[in-house]
Amino acid sequence: MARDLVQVERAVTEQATEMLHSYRKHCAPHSSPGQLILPESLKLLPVYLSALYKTAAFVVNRPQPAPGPGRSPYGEVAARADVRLANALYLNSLTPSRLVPFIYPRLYALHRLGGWVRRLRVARMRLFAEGGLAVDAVDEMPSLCLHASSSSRPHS
Amino acid sequence: MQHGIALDSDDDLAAASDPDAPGPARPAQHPSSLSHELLQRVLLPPTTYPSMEQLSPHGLYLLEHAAGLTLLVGPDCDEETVREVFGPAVPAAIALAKGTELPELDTEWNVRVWTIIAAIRSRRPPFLPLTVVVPADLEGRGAVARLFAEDKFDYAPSYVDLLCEMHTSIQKKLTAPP
Repeated sequence: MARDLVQVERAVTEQATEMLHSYRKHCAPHSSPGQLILPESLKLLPVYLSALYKTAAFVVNRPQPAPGPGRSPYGEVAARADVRLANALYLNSLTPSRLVPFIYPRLYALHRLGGWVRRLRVARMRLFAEGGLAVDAVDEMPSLCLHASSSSRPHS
Repeated sequence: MQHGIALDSDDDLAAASDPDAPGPARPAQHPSSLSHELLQRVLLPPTTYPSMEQLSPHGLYLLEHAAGLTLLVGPDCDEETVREVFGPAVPAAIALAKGTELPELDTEWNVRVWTIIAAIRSRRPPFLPLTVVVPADLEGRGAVARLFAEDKFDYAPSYVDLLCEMHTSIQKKLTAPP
């Protein structure tokens, strides 16, 4: 990689743009001119690219201020060289199923779980009485936590 | 409600005789020691977009990213939830000291958080370290800014900006003379 990171990012964005342009030109030529048309299989490409540029392999460090009193001699960097290299090598080795959670963080809102989980005795009668239930196996049988995720009754 | 169900075990019969009885006591086993097979069956909570706009000061969030897991505690997080997760000695989220670690307690909320963490770890080997970012940890809150992949970070554009840039480039290519 002989180019700097900004140039690499521009080149990657340009390649992705060319892919989407080719699809627009050859596969959806009659769409409205001002409309952005993304193929189903590539509709997440821009969001994954946006995420990729924030990984340690691609993130660009800010110019460092001059060292002074109270400042770390190492400055404030988003990614150091060793972390960047390890991240880049790891990115190359990942399967698609591991690559996506690696570059695109998942944000879980734990506080919204409140009131969802009820511990119920595992019995068919209770399952029917509660309607549709998704089993959240957070515990050993038979003390399961059940998420009441539906009010519909599969058997009534 | 349908009651005419064939019950084929003593447990089912016992439950049917008293359906409102509480379940058996929780076994004294920490979620991290649950089997890999059980953890794979844990239903994870719904996710939302990794953007600062999604954060509420009343919220408690878990961020799964490349380098590990980050537990984000909102400054106005519900006090009872904070006590359940971090222990009865903690009056509120703003009282949590920088560097606080997630304790292992026997409370419902603590077990649920640890269970979700263990379930995510079981899906992302070899190991995801956990960092707790409390309201008082300003440096930590700044450090997690890069993890919000849909936001702008320094030179990296936000998702919306990148999408607009790509859209404009495609429009130029389409209208350019051959």
